[in-house]
Amino acid sequence: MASKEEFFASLTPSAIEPTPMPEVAVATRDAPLREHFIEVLEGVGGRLGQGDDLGDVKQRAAELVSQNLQVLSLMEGVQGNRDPSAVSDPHELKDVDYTIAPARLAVAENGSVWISGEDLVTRNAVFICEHLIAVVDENRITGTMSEAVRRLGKLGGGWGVFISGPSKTADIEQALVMGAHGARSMTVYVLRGV
Amino acid sequence: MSQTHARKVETFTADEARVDWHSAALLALRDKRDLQAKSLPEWEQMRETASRMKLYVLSHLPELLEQFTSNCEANGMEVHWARDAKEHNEIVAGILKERGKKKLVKSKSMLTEEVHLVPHLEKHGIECIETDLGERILQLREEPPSHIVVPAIHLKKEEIGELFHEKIGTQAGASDPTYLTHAARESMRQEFLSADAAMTGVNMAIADEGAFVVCTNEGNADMGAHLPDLHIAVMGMEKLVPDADSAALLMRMLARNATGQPSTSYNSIFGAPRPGCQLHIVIVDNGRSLRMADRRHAEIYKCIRCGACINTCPVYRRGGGHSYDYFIPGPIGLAIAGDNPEANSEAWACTLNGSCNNVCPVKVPLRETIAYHREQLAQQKQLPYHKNAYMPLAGKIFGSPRGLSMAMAAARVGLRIMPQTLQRRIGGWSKSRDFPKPPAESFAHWYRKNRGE
Ligand code: SF4
Repeated sequence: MASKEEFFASLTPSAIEPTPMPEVAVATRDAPLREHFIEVLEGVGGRLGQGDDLGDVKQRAAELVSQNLQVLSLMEGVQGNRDPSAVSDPHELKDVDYTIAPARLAVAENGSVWISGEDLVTRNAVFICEHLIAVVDENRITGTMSEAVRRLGKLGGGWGVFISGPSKTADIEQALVMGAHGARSMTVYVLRGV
Repeated sequence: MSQTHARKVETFTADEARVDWHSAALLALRDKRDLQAKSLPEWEQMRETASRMKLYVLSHLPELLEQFTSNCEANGMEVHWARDAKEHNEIVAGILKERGKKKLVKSKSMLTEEVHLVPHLEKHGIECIETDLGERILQLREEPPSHIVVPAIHLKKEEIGELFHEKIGTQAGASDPTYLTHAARESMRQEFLSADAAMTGVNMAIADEGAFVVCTNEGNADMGAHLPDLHIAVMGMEKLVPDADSAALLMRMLARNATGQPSTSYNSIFGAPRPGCQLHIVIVDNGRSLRMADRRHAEIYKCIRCGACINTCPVYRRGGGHSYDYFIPGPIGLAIAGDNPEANSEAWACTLNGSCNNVCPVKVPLRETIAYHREQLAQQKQLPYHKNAYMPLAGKIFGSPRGLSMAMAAARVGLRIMPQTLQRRIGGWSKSRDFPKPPAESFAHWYRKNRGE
């Protein structure tokens, strides 16, 4: 096994002429971002939550709980029936039907939302659930992925994920199927800003 | 020496209906890709920037590797170095064995195919489960992938139905993709929950952050990585990008160019291990730096493995992924390994039409690299298909205007009178194609008649 020094010593110099780093333009998109986001979200198999107020999310959570489903809410002010503070190991979440999580950003061009590990009790909370509900403020919608990444700030030291619609696969004869390994459905509530 | 590409293709082209179906499935991907590319006004500018950014990376690898490593270490990850496949496999087996790990769930990684990791780990008694649905299907069939993005593109749903019936107990005769996918989901859930280690590849390694991006549609990389207390990420050193802006640029292009989606379902950015868990990164050379020492070969390492050049390639579409010797098929596979004299027919599994160059998001000069391999093999007198014998003669004939016009006249007559079935005998991947109808007269003749003085 090589040490770092041995590895570097074994590298043959690249024949590619020293090329300067080009300027990477940050592409932007114009308003209306909310409409654009919703259109693309639905195009990637996601759904728009009914209502644009946190009260609507609370009501949805209450409905799900009343149907005896396992609901893990990581959204402040929204009550599920699983206690986030009691989760000590991600395996415990294997029977969760719905996870409700806050998204810090949304991206209009690809219908994705950014979920930060800091807002989850454990990273797997947004993958292991049968269904995912994300909640984002409409003022946090960016036009492109490039703009979103700019707004994230530091990436090292943490973890986060852009999620664009439900988990999907087309590995069997190119037929699109939702629900491969992650959430089978993805709903995004876009809250009116204040 | 292994069988020629033309010989291996015959297995696939024996079933013409399947060839047509295969070709159409890939062209559909190409069409979706075109729609997405056209939807971005800045697309061509992005390709140019991405290409130059990658040239910057490839001409500054040692500095960027240093920077990436120290940032990863500061973020609590452990970095390992592998000069070749053997070192890579030993490092991974070592990490797992030291911690008494017995079961590894892995997401798709071309690198682990390249270094034959799975058989190595199995020898050490470690069970490896491929979790990408396509890869899992192939693992159960004990067959290699036939494509780098859609690994089971060559299989029919009935074949997968039969396999699942035998291996995971789905109903006999069932072939509905939704039913089969959800059955696989249930069975894989048990594998995820019982694994004690996870492995992922790396799509982009961000040097100035000490973070890396993993892109999947199924969510299998995340489902795997966020359960056990050990995650090993493996990467070829060319996966580096200098900063987050560059990673975002590639994230905007990758899925659009691969499958025509605006994004993969998941772009997961790992910048630290989970609290109380370990995250190891293995950085691999395995011949890359040697390849990059040859300028005419070096740019293949700009590749971001989107697979678009494969989808658009007429030889691949009609010949299938299993007709190639190298584990990566199609133009990028030929560009990487087409100069291997052991598989010396590979560099000729190409029409040099350049469609691959046109769809490549980072402008890898695929056609030029493949032509370069032919040149090198010709110099070494390693030409396949008896080209050593007839090419000098052909050169003489086609080299003179009179010789060329006589040969073309003969070809026009030949194509007119020879039955299609006989024409198809002529060759390899072109067997399932019909030759074009020959024009009645030569271009030179037409020109003299219509435009001449
Ligand atoms: S060579 Fe270009 S088109 Fe082909 S897989 Fe690599 S990035 Fe994609």
